[in-house]
Amino acid sequence: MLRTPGETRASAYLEVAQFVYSTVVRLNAKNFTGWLELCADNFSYSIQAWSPEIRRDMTWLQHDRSGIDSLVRQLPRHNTDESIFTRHATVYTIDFDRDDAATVVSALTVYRTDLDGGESRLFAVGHYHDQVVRDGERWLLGRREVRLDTRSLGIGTHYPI
Amino acid sequence: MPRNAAQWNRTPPLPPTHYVDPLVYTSEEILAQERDKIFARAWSIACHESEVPERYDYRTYRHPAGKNLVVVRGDDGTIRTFFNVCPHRGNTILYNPAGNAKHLLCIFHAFAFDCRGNCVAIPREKAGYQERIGKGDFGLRAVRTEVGFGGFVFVNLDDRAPALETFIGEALDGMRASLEAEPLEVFTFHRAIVRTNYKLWHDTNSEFYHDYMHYHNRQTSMAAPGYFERRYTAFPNGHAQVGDQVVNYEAYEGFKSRDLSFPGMALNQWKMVDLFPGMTYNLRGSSLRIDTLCPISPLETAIEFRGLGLKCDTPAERAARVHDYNTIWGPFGRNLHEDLLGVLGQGRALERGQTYLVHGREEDSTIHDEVGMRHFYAEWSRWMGRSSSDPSADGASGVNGAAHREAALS
Repeated sequence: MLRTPGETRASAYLEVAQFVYSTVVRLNAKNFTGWLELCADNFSYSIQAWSPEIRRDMTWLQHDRSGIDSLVRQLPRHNTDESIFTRHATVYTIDFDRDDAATVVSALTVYRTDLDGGESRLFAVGHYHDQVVRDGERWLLGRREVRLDTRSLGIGTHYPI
Repeated sequence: MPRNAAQWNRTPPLPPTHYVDPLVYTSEEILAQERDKIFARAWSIACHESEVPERYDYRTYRHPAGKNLVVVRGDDGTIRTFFNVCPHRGNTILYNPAGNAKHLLCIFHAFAFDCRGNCVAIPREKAGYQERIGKGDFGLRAVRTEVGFGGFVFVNLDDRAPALETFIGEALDGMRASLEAEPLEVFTFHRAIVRTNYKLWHDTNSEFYHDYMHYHNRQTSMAAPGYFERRYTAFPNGHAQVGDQVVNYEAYEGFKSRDLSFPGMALNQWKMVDLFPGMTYNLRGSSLRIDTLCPISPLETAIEFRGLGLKCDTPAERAARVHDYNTIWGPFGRNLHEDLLGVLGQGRALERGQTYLVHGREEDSTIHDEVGMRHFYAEWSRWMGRSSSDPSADGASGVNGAAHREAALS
């Protein structure tokens, strides 16, 4: 069945949004290997925040794909708070740079749920700023910049968020 | 062999200098005294001079004695500190953590103050106060301020306290040349609120036996030459230095040797000094980390972390320092999360009843000796006028430590 241009566009929007959500699903499942499978070879990842205290932009984590791969593979060797981290993303905007590349901004909230007793608390609020690229029939993350509004993060975490 | 309740509560078979009563970490009364007897009299780091680089820049600071302060760079370039409290009706003057303001204006009734703490405007002053009271009576409360030891803004609420140089003494001599060769600049700041006692964080910074908790440190430090020869040096006023080491960062997969250092330091060299009662200079070659502590309650602490490089850094150099710092010490870094997890666990255990905390390791003041903590608590006991191993011994509280502990456990 032939699609109108509008239907094609809507389909692309839906694909990209669903792709962003699929990255969140894998992160929430602590399936970091699976999450990295959704990242391009030249993937870059960073967590940044603006500090009103020192009036500067801060970069709290920055890695390329191999750096993130190394980071998550070594997690079992570290002592880590194994609470459940639930990321809730809502895609706000999708701007297609080309048919096969888009810039996506999503609102992000992250909850931390204690293993002991199951109490959930807000961990962080911010945004994902993603660059996504089409690779054949699938989309991949080319870049993810996590911009946090929350800067008081308690004991922090070893996990990418 | 497991111990029964009586055995659990018995003092350890060690000198009293080698253990700490858990009340020292959990008592509201003791924290109130710490604020009065220690924090209100000791020097504290409020911020770094690079946080107020321009005239009229300000930076607020919650002092561990419970006072809200503001650091201001004056029109003459001098950095001064005041209570961030309007002397009229006690309102907060500055709400933002940092900014630039030629006049500090209280939004409540528009009282205005200049950068030197003078009250310069009172709306309808004569109509309301006539000649009875005026601007000259409404100056801000000035707080002693000295800038030094790497450009840090130290403050002291006690107008009669010894000078900063006297308080620090020789404790920072081992890294001072590196700190003062070039102006420094803060590149990252974050505050962690953790359910633990502030002293437990300082303890963590004062002992390296817990390196076993850190996979990164086991790989890069414990296995490196010279680790077990690192020695503690205790200084007057409760400060302590840990011996230097060259760290083998490449032993941790994905990490590499640092490309940068601080002036006068070898690549990958690590220096560390703990200052009483709650500050730490931690210089891992390419970046400096400063910890400062503010108790919120006995088992809740605000820990502030600052990362610094050289003000003259090129963008590429700064990026390298930021990366080096955060891979270990940022909120998502390898080590900081583990250290915070450790003191969170201590806080959790203390909430639910705990026995004495043992600082009993003696290894000729080398790296796993717990002399750094013992030195801190000897100073703490001196300032507090009560023993950290038996804080009720002076009878001030009228509470028997062992009985109180048993009551807490029952």
